[in-house]
Amino acid sequence: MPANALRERLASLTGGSQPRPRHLPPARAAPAEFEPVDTPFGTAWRWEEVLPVGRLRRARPAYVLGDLAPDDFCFVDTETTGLAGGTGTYAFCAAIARPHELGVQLVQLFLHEPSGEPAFLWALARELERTPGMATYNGAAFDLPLLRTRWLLARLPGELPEPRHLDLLHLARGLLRPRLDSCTLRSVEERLLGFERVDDIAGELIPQAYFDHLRQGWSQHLPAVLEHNRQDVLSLQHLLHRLLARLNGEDPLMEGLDWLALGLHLHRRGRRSSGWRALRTAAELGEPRAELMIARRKAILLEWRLRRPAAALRIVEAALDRLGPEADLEKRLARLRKRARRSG
Amino acid sequence: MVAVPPFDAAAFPGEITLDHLIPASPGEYVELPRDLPEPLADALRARGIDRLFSHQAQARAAALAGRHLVVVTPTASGKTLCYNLPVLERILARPESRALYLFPTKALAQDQMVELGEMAARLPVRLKVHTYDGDTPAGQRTAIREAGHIVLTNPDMLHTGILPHHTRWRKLFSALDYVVVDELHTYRGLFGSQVANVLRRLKRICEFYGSSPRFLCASATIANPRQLAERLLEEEDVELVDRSGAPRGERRLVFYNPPLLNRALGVRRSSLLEACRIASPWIKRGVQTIAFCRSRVSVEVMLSYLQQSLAPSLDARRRVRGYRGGYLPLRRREIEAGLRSGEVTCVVSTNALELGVDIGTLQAAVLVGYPGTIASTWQQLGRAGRRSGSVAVFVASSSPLDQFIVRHPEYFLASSPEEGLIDADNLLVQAGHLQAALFELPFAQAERFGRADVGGLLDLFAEDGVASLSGDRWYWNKQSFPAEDVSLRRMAADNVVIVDTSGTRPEVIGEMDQFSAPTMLHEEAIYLQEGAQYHVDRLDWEEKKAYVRPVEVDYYTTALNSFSVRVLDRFGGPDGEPLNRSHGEVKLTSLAAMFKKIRFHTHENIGSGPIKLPEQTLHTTAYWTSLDDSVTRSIGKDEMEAGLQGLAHALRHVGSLRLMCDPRDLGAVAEVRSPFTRRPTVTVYEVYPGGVGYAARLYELHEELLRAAADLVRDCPCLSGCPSCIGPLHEVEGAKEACLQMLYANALPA
Repeated sequence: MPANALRERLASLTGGSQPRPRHLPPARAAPAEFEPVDTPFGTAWRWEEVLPVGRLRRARPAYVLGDLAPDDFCFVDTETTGLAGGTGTYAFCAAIARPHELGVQLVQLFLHEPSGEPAFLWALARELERTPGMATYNGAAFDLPLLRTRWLLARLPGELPEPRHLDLLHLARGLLRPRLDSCTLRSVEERLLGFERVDDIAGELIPQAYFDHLRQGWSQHLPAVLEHNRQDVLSLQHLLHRLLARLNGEDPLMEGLDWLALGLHLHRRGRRSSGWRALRTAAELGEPRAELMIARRKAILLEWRLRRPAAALRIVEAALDRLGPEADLEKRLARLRKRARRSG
Repeated sequence: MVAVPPFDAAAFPGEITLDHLIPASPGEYVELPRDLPEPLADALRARGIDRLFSHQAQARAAALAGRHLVVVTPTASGKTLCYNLPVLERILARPESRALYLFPTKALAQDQMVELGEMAARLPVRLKVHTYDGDTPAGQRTAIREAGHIVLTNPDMLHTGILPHHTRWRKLFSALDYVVVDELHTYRGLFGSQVANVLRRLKRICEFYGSSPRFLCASATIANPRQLAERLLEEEDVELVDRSGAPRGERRLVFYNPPLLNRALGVRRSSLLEACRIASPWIKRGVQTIAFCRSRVSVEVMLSYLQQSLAPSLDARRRVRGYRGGYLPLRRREIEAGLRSGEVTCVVSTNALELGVDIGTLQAAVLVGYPGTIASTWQQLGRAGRRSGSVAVFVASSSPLDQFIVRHPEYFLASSPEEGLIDADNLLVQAGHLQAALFELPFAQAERFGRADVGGLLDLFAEDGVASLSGDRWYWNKQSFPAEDVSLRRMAADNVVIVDTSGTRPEVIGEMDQFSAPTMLHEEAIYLQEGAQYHVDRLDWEEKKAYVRPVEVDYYTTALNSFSVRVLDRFGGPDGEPLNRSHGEVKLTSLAAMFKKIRFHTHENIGSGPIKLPEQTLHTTAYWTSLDDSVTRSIGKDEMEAGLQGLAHALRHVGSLRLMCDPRDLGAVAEVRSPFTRRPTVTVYEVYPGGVGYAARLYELHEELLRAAADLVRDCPCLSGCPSCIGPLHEVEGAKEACLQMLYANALPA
């Protein structure tokens, strides 16, 4: 609140004016589709639906899942009262999607008012316990620390149960960054999954929608917020399969640049041989950076491991020919030529 | 090296108004207590400490008995051991124990870290002591939070970086045994009122985690250390340790008034040059000397004079150094070490070296100009205090306060040092911190914030949508992070920022409250800061920025404004005659209409102009005095107005002197006929909306203020009053007499 406005308001508190009317909060109910659930800490509000799964192309598992299968994972996303973090920000709804024999089961919990938080968190814990794995988008840095903090502040016993966590943001950044300048879930949804949301609510309006609900007992934008939250976790499921496909090299839409990203990502994760395989594919598809890395690797192997400097020199010359000037290759070229001259 | 450095008064043409010898005092010692853990006793002996000063033993006993305490002893009396010893002792007994140390600045925290680290290194326990502030690298922060035994920080970091994220600090808060508050006296006025609220939040969070730490405080000499501690901490029964057991050498205290150059105008020989002349012979003989100047500019000027004039006799660049808070830490460490080792003979400093930092004790101190408060003066004089004997000289400048002090050394010697005052319940301050507290933990319905009842504020927040009541608790209802919007050193008010455009890049040189700005920062005003003149080229009222440029002109500007004082609520008085006293809550309105340019000395009006700025209002607390008919009957109309203005000016000055606040924290208004009292009235008001506790105190000090004001005005050497003593209306004949007549009326028996 601007300083001068606050001063004027405070002036009304002093100067011996008549006592102000006590503030009475409105009744705040969860939207009609939510059902009450009993918990040891009171009532929580829960909605559930089973949906057919849509165009989900199931992928094979990859190393990121550990020893779990894709269907062992649930998908979790929260909407919060702000991004500031700290002890004054809390989650007011959480959506959980998990595989179901008929498709996907979508569960949502809604915090009808802050005093219901212990019940809300307890109910969320029960949902998280049902699968051995959990996938989020930026959960490592945001949602999980926030939920842990809320658990502590609510003085709930024990800790928030946390199944094996996979943060899809990290994976998406690694595999998609050369392609996308933004790795927000929206961008990834649109560019990778080819899905554009209609009438989605803007992120900045979300906290206010909840504050309106608290203040007035109703909120114009709350239905859109709940829908947004549900859509987030459904996207996460599609995203997981798509990213797994990429990791396995089984996404038919992959081009040279994507294979390069995959190769570099695998290298960073210490999976060298898969990384080189991906880079070779990228090089075959004409991706210059991959070609460069492959050429350099071949030259090093030939020169130092197999002790065939002449062959190394040919590789380097060919690469420079194809790719144009490059500092590292030129240094190698100079050195290899000197060796060749010396050995006659 | 000589014993007490000689000072031959006869060698100086000015006036010596004080030549006072404070006798040496022996130390009072206590053997190392037998119940002190052996590793700790060994660590002390390894540092050359084989017995404690009496005050250190007293502090330890109080801490062991579970009391809060405040230690008030001079510099170089081993004050830090008073709190380090109990903290270390507790950690040795209970390794999970934690302590939090608060220092007003990062620099002081970092200095103490070294000190504490050295002690800790000699203990068998692996003690983790860390500073946690804006400079702490991100990678280290988690480790400090999890495992740090002792965390050193500052109130600002506590306010925005620690408390709002308290779940990350639960290991600290659940085991917090001690909170050390060093330099307690700095937590006064507005800053102190804000910090008191930060401590309320801290205690609230400790209660959540189940701890109840004891507060160990250390303060410089002020009149009311126990009261300040009790108010700041909101605790009763704080033990006061103020009898120092540290030995002191004999000290010679000299007050020197440079000779008059121009009697009519009251201009004296430069105090800076006189100080150089006093210090030079000492420096030449290797006597370690410290010179305190009032501003950074003076430090640089004095330093260059000394270095130039001493260069032929010694390696002046190396032995005579300057010191300011703004220097980089490495350079400061180097100079401090040089002082301790003796390599640096003379340091010229701002008040940055008044306290805190260990520079050993020097043999001579020169104060160039009055430091502004009695307390600071003693601190600075106290930097010279070697056991073999020392001398300290205060050299007065021509400014009115300086002249008052130098001509009334008995006032100085008899005065108790100023008080530290705070008002933790200033609504505007409290509101900001209540929001931060709400963010940290929900408020139960009848819960108090410290001792304050905040139901009204919470209702207000709910109306404004900032807080929300759910179940029986209040919750924070906004996206933003409230602590970020509260600056501890400023009032939540839209101040006008003063920007100097003369350099290569515009530089902010100061700030002024919105209420005073139209009269001091209107376009074409000559604004004074630290003795330098600036011309206000442009005032952007919307943006609250004043663009200024340094100038040297022979005139000053004065704004004509109509002031009105509306008393909203009287808390005390009217009491006493013929000048009675009251205090309470007021609403001030000020409308500046035009300004005049007045030439110095001749007082010609050389120009004027309009001021087109909106009317300002200020809700705050104030003290006022109104004059009985008997006083004013014989005073003519013109002299009345001028005399009242003079009274206002003088009261404001002696008020700020007595309260140890910046003179700009107070304003004064004179009304020939106040609509409220219906008499001639002078109101001294607090510039911070809502006040920080000064007005009530001024009311209590009423008699003393009138006496001091009379002395100030009477002893001004100019004939009819001058800007120094009675302010800008000195051009009215008889103003000084009228003012004195008003003041003396009070001295007459009823």
